Amino acid sequence: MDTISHLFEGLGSLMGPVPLLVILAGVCVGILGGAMPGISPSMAVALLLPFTFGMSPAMGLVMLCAIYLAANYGGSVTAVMINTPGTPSAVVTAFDGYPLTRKGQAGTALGISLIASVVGGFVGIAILVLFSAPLARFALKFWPAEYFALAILGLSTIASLGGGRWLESFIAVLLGLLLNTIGLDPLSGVSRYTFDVLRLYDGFSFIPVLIGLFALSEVFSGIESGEIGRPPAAPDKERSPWPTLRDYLKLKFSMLRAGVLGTVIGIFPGAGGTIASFIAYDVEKRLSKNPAEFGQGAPAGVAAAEASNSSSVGGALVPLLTLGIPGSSSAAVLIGALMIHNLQPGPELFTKHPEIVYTLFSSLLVANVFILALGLLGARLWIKAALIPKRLLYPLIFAFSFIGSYAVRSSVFDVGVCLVFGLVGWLLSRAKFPVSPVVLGMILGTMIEKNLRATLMMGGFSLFVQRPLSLTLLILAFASVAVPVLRERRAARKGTL
Amino acid sequence: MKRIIAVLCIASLAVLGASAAFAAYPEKPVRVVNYVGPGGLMDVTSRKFVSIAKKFTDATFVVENREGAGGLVGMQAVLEQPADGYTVFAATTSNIAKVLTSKKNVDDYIWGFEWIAMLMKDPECLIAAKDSPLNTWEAVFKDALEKKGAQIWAGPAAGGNDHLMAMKVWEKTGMSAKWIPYSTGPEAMMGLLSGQGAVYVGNGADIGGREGFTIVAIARKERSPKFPDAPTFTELGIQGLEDEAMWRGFAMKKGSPEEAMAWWEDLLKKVAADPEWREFLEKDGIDVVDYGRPEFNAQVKKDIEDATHYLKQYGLIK
Amino acid sequence: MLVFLSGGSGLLLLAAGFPAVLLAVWACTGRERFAPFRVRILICAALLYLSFVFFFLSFGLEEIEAVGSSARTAPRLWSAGLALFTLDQLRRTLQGRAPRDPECGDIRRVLATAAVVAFSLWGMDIVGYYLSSGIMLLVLCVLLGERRPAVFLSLTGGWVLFSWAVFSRMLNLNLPSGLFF
Repeated sequence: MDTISHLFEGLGSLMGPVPLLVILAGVCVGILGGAMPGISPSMAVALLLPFTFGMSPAMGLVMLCAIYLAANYGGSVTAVMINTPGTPSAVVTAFDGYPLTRKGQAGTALGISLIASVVGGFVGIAILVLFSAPLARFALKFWPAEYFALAILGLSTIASLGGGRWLESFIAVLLGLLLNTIGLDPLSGVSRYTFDVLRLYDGFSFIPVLIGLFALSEVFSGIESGEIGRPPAAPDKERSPWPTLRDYLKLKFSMLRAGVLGTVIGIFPGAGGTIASFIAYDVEKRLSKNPAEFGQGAPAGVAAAEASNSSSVGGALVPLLTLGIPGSSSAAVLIGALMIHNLQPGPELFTKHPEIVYTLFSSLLVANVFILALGLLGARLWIKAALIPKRLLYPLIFAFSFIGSYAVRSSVFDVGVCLVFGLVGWLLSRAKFPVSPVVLGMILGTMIEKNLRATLMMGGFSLFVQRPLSLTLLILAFASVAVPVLRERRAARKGTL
Repeated sequence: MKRIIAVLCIASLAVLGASAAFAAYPEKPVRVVNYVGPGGLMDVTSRKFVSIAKKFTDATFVVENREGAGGLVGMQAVLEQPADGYTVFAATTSNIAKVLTSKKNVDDYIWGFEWIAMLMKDPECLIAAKDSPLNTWEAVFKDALEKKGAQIWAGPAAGGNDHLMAMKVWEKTGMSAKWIPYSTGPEAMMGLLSGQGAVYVGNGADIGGREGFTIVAIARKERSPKFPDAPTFTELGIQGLEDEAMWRGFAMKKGSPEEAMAWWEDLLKKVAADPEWREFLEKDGIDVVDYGRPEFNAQVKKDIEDATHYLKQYGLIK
Repeated sequence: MLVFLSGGSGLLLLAAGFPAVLLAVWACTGRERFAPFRVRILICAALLYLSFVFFFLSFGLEEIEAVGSSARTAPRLWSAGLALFTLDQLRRTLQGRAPRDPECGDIRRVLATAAVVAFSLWGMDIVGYYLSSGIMLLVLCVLLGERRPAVFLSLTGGWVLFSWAVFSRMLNLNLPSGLFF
């Protein structure tokens, strides 16, 4: 009860013109930044960090969190409209959002991703406020063995990603894992496959790879198929392009499930948020009555992806506030913001500056409402992007992708990486190799390798089976790979008979 | 064609450089290049430094982030700029170890710089979980001997500053243990809380704001006023670890104008005396210093010697 | 040799071997039976080459005993796995149990686009970001079929202004500068 009354106090302190304006500005910047290909939430937060130095600690933090939350939603806009996920965790939103847009149903995709974002955001915040202490205790049960098992569970979702082509999916994921070994070895610091190129010491950065594999490869195949000549798919004039209330209500359980999954898995530092969105998508696909629709434009796929993506913000703040450990790269920037205001991130914040914590919580709620309002307004604008002729849209996608890739590390090298992966992605997808497993492999590669080797150093392979949590996760992962593979085998045998 | 362009560039730079030499430093914005991203430790430090420096000078500072390869990218970016004193590298101890472990040329990457201003010394600490049975040095040491090298010490990257500190402790006490590197310091501390490791090597600031940790030993001459309960190594009977610290400071490319370097040394003296600056650092148990070139260069030299010795001894470099 | 191949000039040599392997495979797959799967076979060959290079070079990776964990494990595991699955894929393809290559579309325009973009990247360090990205936009618009000068000129001008105002001024991003600005 104490929490609730604190929360109301926090809400009260936000009800003035200045705090509301700060949140509004944060949400605006966040949505616009997130909607720009190549600007990830952590970059949006980092780029705006210097602007908050002059503000009071609470206001600065409120603004950054509003940006963080809004940028996570904004990323879905480009994922849906031009197949450009702004963050690794928005990759999943593009799986079904972009096919919907191609079918002329951009309104459905935009509407569902907005509502799912907001619902997921609320779920994440609610769990953060009510259950952060038990969740933090849960996070402490995780040893490297469990982190390894969790990453493997995330990888196992690829078995169902390739649309039945599990062999191609395995090849793609191994390619991603192999490319991820380029750079300094995370444990010993030995340089691997860097060929003395300084820029390769950290391996490929995700954002350029992501943009290349998704956005540019899509542009290239658009050019190849002669899509530039054709007029864009015109929306149906008779029907409203937006989903009805009933459409949303149909997806309520998908959103809630994905929201809870996103928050709980999002608490794990590293790739928690990304793994969460892949797992949430996988779960929805397995629960769905017509799983074949997934990947071709299933509304439930968009809802699951976006809800888990947004709720992972709440998840990432759990270890930040309870243990002083950032749960994501954006949360890491928030720690810097706290430090510059002479505040210590961690549990002491609750005891020494509870007003800041509760202002933060309630500002997330307010920001979520603003996202809903601005998102509804913005959607009317974004949907117009589907009407831009491809001969103008494609050059603009190149321009945006390149400045986004450059901005990550101020390096032209990364822009080249983006272009090369664009061509690779185009070649792979026209030969019917799925590209999303490549991304997943590259994101999870470090987490898998590090924790595997750390476990071996701590006590050998037996740790994986001795620890019940890791054993459970590994069995789950194994089952989720084996089931679709065996089913396909059986279907193939029936087919030949 | 390229050569012509290069010649033109050099000529124009020479003209600019000459005019800069005549006017008083700094007459244009000074770029402070960080090797970490926004919100990283050194980024926060240099931004705070710049904001306090504005009390004493009208100069404009632009804080930039050039991340990558553990600082090598940032160092190279600065070394590629002309030595006119308008590009400053924001360095920490870990840059030195990084140059050594990645086998880069020390003369280029370390002595290509003039180390002009050392801001602070953050004493190295051995940290343990408060509720663990191993929450004193004696208990840790006894357990280490029983486990015969299988005790786990946690921290960030292998070969980094904290790993070096661990090696120093192991050598001075004759014990041995296993170093498990985590992605970041905080993740290693999380590992400590969940019972994976016995000791985390870090700094006092790491336990500020976080619950459940205690410092078992601090590498300082006397006890830290901020952590009066933490014993020094000398008190624990371990000699030679009175002054092990992580420093942060600024460096300029070698051959920069004397005027610019002297200006920075002077600026540091003023900032180091500022109460806001002192509070910013001292609340974390960091010792504020105002070392200019002689002391800072000596510190860097000692760090290289130490790091080379221990990295070789434990087989991380040949 | 491993040390040499892991260095900068080794990269050039390995990169040169890549098209050589592909050309050889291309020459071998001209027969009627394989022709419909040619691109797929080429991709498999490229992946095999890649996994071979990674596996081979892993022997040159430094071992640091003090760390207690080898940097070679993961690359070997992944490259062996990649080779295994790719070989299986290749077997299926050669038996004709794989999807045929898609019809070739407007490949020349794709390559032209990629060339324009690559050229503008190369130019970025010489003439600076604004000029090279402006020219890239202009050429791409024309290449993709925009014929109205007013449209492509305003798009280009708009982009240059936008990137200057937002990225350079507002966000303090240091865009590559060149000869003029």
